[in-house]
Amino acid sequence: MNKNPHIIEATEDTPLVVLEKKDGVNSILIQGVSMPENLFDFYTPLFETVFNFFETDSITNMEINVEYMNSMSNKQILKLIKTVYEKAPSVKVIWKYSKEDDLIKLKGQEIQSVFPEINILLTEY
Amino acid sequence: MANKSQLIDDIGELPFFLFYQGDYTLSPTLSIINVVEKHFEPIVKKTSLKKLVYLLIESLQNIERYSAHVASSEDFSLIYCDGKSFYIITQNTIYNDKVNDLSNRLQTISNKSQEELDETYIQVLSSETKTEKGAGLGLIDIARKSKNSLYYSFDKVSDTYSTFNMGFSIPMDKSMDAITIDNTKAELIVKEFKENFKGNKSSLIYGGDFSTTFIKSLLDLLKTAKVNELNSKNRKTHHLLIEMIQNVKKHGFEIENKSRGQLFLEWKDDGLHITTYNLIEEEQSNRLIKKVELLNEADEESLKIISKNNLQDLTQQGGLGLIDVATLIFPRKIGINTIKKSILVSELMLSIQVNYE
Repeated sequence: MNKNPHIIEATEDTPLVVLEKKDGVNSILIQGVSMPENLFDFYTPLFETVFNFFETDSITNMEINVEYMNSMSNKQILKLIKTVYEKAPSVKVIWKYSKEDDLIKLKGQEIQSVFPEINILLTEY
Repeated sequence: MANKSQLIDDIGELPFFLFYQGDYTLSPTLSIINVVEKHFEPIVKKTSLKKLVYLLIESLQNIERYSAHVASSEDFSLIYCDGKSFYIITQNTIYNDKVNDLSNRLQTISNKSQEELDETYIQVLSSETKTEKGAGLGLIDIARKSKNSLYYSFDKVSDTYSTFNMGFSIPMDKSMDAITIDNTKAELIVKEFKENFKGNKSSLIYGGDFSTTFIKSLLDLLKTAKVNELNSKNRKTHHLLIEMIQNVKKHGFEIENKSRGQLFLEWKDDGLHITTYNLIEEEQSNRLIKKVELLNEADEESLKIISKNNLQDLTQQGGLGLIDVATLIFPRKIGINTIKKSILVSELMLSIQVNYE
């Protein structure tokens, strides 16, 4: 069942989040900058919002495209990926990184290594 | 870091300071103002901030327009506040054949009363005589708005050029108009900055709140004003800065409204040196020393394993930041220096070096 997208606008230190249910594709996009001073003020409600939006439907795609990410945000995003996977093992995760950005690429490789069972695709742009 | 310790002590008392020494042909004015504005927006009246920004623009653009630009290490601006007043001090190189003219103009301005300055301003504004770069209004206006607290000096450097130093101050709030401005302290601080950083190609020194707002404005400054420095626009440097700065935000603390910590960015011949300084709880200091020692001893593979282990433990929130720093600067090491200040508090200095690439 299609649903209007839920959009959390980006701020100075938190990413854009778009949740979408369309034509059988249930997707999460996280894009931009993630370095909030109060990490849990952003990520705790985000987890709730994600799973309330998708209800019992499986999330099929996740796209992570962060330009800057502090180390604590890294963990939260990883936690989100893992939680989504536990509910939807066939989820496809696309981890995007700029070709100039060794750290974000490395973070993607680390996540692949920590969770080899999750379908994580690294994509350079 | 012993040669910086006096400077750190003196500027640590200040709730805000920003020192930028470098190439002003790259027009860093707006980026510098962005850092200052974002810091003071929440804490001073709009009218006071507007006045500060206006005078900053005049002062910084003075350097951009009138410096001889013969040595970027000799051009700098220093903006700080001591809780009661804003201080703006600038230095730029000037060709020797231009010194007399400028000196005479400044002497004339200094001798005028407030009323005379206002009259002169109107006269020059309506005059048709304009210099190539401006009408000469900038200095008059600075003198007017700072209630003629303007002071200046010239120092001959060579047969070709001298340095021109200028400073002035304004109260943070109109109600503080009667406060005595401490220019002696300003001159001492400037002297310390000059002595500590004269060998650098460029330097940026900051003390303030270390908020995310500051991080963003710093990254903007690096992208625009440091566009010629290879590693200033690359992501690796930005990631390192984010981690180092947020470390200060997380662990550093203020005492009696002094700055939370200090950040030193020094572009030297062998690379960019990043140093942070802050106070830290003694217990945390000991844990941090052990952690840095472990990271410094690790080879590349071991760092990957340490990082992976930390990532896997989703119950543990922190700890990844310094691992990321160690990984990004490998094979270089993280420098750490702690000095016990009391039973409960230590001073912490972390330093890293990033190669130009």
